[in-house]
Amino acid sequence: MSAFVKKYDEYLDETYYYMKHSSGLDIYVMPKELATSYAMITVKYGSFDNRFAPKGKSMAEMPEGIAHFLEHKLFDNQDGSDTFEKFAEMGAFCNAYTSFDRTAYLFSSTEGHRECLGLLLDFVFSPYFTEESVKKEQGIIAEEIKMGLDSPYNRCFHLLTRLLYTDHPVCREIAGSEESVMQINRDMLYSCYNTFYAPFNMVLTVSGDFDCNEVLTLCNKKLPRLQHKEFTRGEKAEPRSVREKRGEESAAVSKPIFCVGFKDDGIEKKGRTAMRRALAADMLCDLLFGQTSTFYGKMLETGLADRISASYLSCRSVGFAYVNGTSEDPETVYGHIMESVREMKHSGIDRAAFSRIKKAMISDMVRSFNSTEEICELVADCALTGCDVFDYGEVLRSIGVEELEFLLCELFDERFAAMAVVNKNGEGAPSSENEEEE
Amino acid sequence: MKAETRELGGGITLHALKTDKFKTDSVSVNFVMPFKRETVTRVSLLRGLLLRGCEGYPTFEKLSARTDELYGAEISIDTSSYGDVLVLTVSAVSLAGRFSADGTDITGGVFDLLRRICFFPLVDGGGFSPEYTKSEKQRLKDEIEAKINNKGAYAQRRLSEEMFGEGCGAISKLGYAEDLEEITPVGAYLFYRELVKTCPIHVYTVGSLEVQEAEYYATTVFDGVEREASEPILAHRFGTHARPEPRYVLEQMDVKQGKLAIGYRTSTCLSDAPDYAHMLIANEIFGVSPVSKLFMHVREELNLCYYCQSSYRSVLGAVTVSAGIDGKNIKKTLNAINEMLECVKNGDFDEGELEIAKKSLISAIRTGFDSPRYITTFMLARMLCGVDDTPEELWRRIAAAQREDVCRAARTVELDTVYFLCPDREEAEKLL
Repeated sequence: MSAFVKKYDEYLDETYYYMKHSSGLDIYVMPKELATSYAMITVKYGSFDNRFAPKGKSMAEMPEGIAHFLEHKLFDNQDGSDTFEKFAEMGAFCNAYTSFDRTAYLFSSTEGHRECLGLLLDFVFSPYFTEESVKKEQGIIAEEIKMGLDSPYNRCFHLLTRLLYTDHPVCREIAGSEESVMQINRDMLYSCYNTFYAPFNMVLTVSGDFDCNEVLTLCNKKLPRLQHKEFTRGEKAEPRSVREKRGEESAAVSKPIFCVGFKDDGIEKKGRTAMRRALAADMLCDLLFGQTSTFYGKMLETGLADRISASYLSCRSVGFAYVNGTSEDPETVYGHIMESVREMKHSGIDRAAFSRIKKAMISDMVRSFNSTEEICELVADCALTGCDVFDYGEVLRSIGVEELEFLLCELFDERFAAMAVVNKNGEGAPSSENEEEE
Repeated sequence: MKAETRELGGGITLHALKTDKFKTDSVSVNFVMPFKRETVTRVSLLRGLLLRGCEGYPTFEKLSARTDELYGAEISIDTSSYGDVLVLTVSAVSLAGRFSADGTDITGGVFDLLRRICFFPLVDGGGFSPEYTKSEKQRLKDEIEAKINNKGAYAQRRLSEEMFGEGCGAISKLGYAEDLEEITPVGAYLFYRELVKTCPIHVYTVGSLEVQEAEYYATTVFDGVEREASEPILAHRFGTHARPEPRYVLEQMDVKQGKLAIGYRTSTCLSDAPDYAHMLIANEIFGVSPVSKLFMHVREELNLCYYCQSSYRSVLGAVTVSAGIDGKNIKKTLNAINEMLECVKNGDFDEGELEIAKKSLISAIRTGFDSPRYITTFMLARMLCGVDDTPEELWRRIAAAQREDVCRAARTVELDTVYFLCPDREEAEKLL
């Protein structure tokens, strides 16, 4: 299969095949000997793309949550057949999700992978929306939105985005609001679909019992011709300053939940640069707030905060590091967080801790290759950032301590930090969890 | 697919499954004990306490640094319940030895850590460290109280309490805040000593280790450990009938969406081959997948919810349903769910639905066997229920099931308790 480029990684002992299909679609095939095969089409269209201008037209603003709404509605078929059922007949399971920058349609199967891939391509490229079906979906999505509001961690995270950003779509719920989804109609869905759902704006990742020939044959048969529909995304990067330093909400929680964020510079990074920054920032989060950090030890010892986790989120022009956890006294925890940052800036990064954490981070990558699902997710993620999944090890190894110290000063700057807190509203009765059996 | 079993003496059994599917090695040391209200809190406390410090790694920080050095090995401690049996599991997932680029002995290092964590915790004055005990008691208390944060799980938990009353199904495996008070560092330690000395232990390995290698490494875990040979502990068979009249429990809370939890009893349990397989199918048709009765009718036709799912708790003999709904739709939803169950009982499903349910179950089990964690749980649950079947046998039974088998299994399902966590209790009361 000459059209495919083969890439092999010796350390991982894994291979992928890549080609740009004549339709414009990026195709990645990762053969894998597991019972489950997995395939995913990722559309580069998510909740960040609320505003856009098709070529030659003016900027249109869509109701919040429309990308997610479209994802739900793509499962409808003109002949009234049920997409879930078609996959289920093959013993396969299909699903979809929408995030900030993408909408993904996927299936997992243990037999009939070829037929399933055909079904996947069929339904993603056959939109069928009616006013009636749009109406029907509004009620279901309203319940999905309410479910999200009942999750305090979700609420705290969203509150943080609204503190860090002023008018960026990151501030809005991916599913929109109960009010915004009521404004969505059939024509809007077609307008979004026609703008973003074209092969050149998509990535196909498949892993498991697939071979390149059969994937290519299917794509040749099912995909529309190359249509380079141009459009301008309306998402605008924001200046680095934060909207507000503090924000509070209350909910039925047992203990206040906090989320402290450090906003990055707002410059969209691509390719290896993006991968490098994300890895370096994650490493810093681990050094500052991870299980072997002084901060974590202090919180455990004093009982001031618990359930601490820290991570770096980056998506297009949005980027921030965040630390969350629970505490009766979030303000004091905030003080300790800033103190840890100052201390590390002052005394530098511990070399031993640095090399230890690098070693531990390699395992994240290796483990992903245990599962066809994770492989597809990881490769699609790299494709959207414009980097090569097999560069991970090399990029990680090449990050130096000086580079990290530089990023520490740049990223962890208190002037660009904010804290969101979800307080308890006094109604929470204590209880315990539900056990699962298998 | 079947693990090789070796008796290591002293009530310790090794189950080793060699497979080249994974890049990781998974090991778990499982302490098996009766599931009791009086002791559950002390067992639960060990989850945190044993990770705080052990011989050679006296702090959590030092222990974490060691796991980093072992290429990000992950050590975790958890409990799980199987009817009247409780299992305390100390597990490790690490990269297979071949991924060590600098000569670090990952496998040896992981088994050494398991030994220290399980049997050589930090001891201070004849008990656990007073400082760690105090801190872990507080953390457990917080954890127990934090369960309110997840409203759906909270509703399911409350349903179990209401449904099983004094039975083991009502016990929370996390333990109880009111029992924490009286636990002392010495008391907790003596309890722990007795437990690790007398409990039957099952070690599972899934990954690159051959059974001989697994046996060699597993033996090192118990080196210098005092053990008393113990009788095997198995889960009892539970399946019972529902109460004569279903019970309705309403609770008001500040939630945006009502959380409905319905409990049914069934006399069909995990140990009832082949009825167990038939019950799995009945449950699948009823409410597991996006083509199930619940999804198609309650969500897609009536648009009452975003999620509405059933789950079969096969050791306790129960089927539970959970749904997030608008408070005003309680009666409508409840009726619709019960109506769907009647459909399954009466065989009101076509050949297509039956075939789909069988296929998706078999597919789910095969997919499960792509996950080391699922494999271990599958084997452990069956061992504890005294069942000796392989996944292949299970899916053969599923494939062979007839329509009447499925209806018969479904007819053992009886409504017992309805629990509703609602934004407005008065409104719900009027509607019900």
